[in-house]
Amino acid sequence: MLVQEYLYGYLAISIALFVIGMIGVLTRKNAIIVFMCVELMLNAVNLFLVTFSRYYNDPAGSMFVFFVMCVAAAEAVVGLAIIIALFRNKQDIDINNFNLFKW
Amino acid sequence: MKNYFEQYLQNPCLNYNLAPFSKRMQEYYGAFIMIAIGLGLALILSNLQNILIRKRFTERKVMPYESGMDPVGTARDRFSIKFYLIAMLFILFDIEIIFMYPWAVQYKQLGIFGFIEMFSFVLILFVGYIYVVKKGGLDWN
Amino acid sequence: MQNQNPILISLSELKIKKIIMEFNSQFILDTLPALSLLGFGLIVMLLDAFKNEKITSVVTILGILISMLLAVPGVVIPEEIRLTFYNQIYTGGLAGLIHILLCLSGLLSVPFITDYLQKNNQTHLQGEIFSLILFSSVGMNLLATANDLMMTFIGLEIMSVSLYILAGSFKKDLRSNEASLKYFLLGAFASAFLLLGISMVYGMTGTTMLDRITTIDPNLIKDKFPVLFYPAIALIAIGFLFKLSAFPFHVWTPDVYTGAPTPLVGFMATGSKMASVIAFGFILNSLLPQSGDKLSQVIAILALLSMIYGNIVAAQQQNIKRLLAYSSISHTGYMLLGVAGGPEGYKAAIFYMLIYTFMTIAAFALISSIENKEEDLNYQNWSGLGVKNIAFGLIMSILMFSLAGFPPFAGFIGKYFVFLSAVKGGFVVHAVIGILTSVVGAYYYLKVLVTMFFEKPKDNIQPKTLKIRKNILIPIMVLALIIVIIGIIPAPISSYLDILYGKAGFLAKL
Repeated sequence: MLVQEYLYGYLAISIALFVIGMIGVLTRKNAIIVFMCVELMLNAVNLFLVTFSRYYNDPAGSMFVFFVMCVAAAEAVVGLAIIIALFRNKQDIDINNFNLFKW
Repeated sequence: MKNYFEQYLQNPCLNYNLAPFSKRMQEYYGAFIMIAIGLGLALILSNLQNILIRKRFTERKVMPYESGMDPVGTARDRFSIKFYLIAMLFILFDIEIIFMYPWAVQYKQLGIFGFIEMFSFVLILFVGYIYVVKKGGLDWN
Repeated sequence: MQNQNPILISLSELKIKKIIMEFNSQFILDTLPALSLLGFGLIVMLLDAFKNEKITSVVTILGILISMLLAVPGVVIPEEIRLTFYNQIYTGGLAGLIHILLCLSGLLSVPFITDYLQKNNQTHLQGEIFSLILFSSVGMNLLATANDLMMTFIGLEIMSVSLYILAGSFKKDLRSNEASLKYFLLGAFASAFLLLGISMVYGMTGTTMLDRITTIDPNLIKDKFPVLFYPAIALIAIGFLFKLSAFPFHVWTPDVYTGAPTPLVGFMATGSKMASVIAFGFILNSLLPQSGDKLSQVIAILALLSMIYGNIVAAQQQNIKRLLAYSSISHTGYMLLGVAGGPEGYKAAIFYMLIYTFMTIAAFALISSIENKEEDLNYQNWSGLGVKNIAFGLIMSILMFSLAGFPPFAGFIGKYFVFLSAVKGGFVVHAVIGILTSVVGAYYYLKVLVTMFFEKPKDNIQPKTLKIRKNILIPIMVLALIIVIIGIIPAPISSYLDILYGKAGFLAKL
């Protein structure tokens, strides 16, 4: 059983990881790095879930982590496929250059 | 005396961490034996060739092993797109294993219900596999 | 355990009650509508793998129809909504109706997609696209009827991952690729926020089941984790508002709607929005049982901003797909105003969604019928088109009048119910401003019609194909007819919704 004082430490780490990922998404220009930052955010949430799963001694949270990991893998595959399809046509994955649409 | 882990499985309200250290270690015995066998086997097999085989060095043989690619040259070299395809398919099918771990641990308790559920899960994966094979996702040429 | 936390104690009591996991006929019957969609998705995939993609559209329509029929018994004899699949999803009654409505958006777009693929010589994509539509429908169904937040997340991801691929299904088309990448990156970003929100709710309550969360006293949660309560709800709201393309989270909408293949946009815009609205309203009502909470005020203000922004920016668009994208932002605003108005407004939002589905799918299908190159989408080039092609002009005017909310078309009825519920829920100012923005909306919808009917035709820039192909003309006409009929006699549908809604006790008590 986690004690509440320790709990906040784990939560702080996972929130910090989440914010790092968020900053990465907002500032990076390479599509693959942006995508990796999104994955980092998902994994930060995993840490959050595992912490509370331990705190409540409840397996549901750990089970949720499995699903999140699986979804993250599916997302990774789809995302890489999309990036490759785009690279084949454009020879570039800098997201600042994706400006076909204007208003 | 029953394994503490089994008691824990039957009654999740028991606090697992309050069990004495020796009892908590009980369930790891299998893993320790597994590690010992694995380590021993690896050590024996990797040294067996030194004992049995006559040594003859060629240029190819002394090269560091890099999955069949030339290890010398620029690191910015481009890979065949096939690598990514296979790697992505690998991730996709590999990650599904994590659902089998909890099922395997709780196999007895879940019984026929768990078996049918896991069977349908694997069936769906198998349809995906057929699709990949038929679409030529695994053809190298 | 020395912990005196009441949440923990109530949880451990729940855990001692063992869930008996076994099959019975009721369990199979309850899950069959969703399972049959999945099964047909797999069949379509196999048909595609074995080079039978020509019959995939028929099999898809058959699959969706079977899945809808399986949900019909629980809807026709109005039964109470109940939990199934180990308390993971709702079924019967209102949930059955939601399932049918979600299937509808997939079913209606199939003929238009088939035709569009034939026109663009992309028939080899049929199998992939239809199986993805079926999988996406499964995800929407799980998302909208979920009782467990875990199921909400999985449903949302099944739905969105399929939609990311659908947006980029024309692999050689750079615009389609770009739309797909933008949708994917921003969508994954938003779902990470949603996931953090869900995990915070789990952290506060120790469970992800919504029916259990409602039984826990909110003040207790606030006392235990005062830091997490509002961030959790805000993060969940961000995740859903993104999927709904509400005002501050709308940036992806115009680009994705412009770049993705046209009839697929109809599917993307309707099904995913409907599922997200339903799930969002339900989760909001479960997490915040006290009416008049601050969050519904925030949602109402965001709804207002979406209406204003969507309508004003849409008025400046030349590209018809972009215009409809911005107008969809404003339609999201109307739905959100319903969601903010409590259970009564939630019902109005569902009704609005139904009408919006018909209008949007028909509008995108109609646009795809004359689309050959990019310039065809600029409605300035459509001058005189309404006179040259009467069928096109007539159906377009029905759709535009309905989208603008003129009586006697269905769009008017939808807006009427939403604003009525908003006034009843105490959002009088919001309703008045909403009506004013829909007047602004009428301006640009009518501008399209004015160009089509009252301007001299300029032959050199007009779209080449003016004839609508017969196999999509009939479905579009049926849709237009439905819009007119609902507009004239809405009573049967709305009163039926009332009956089902009354049976859905879980919402009435909130």
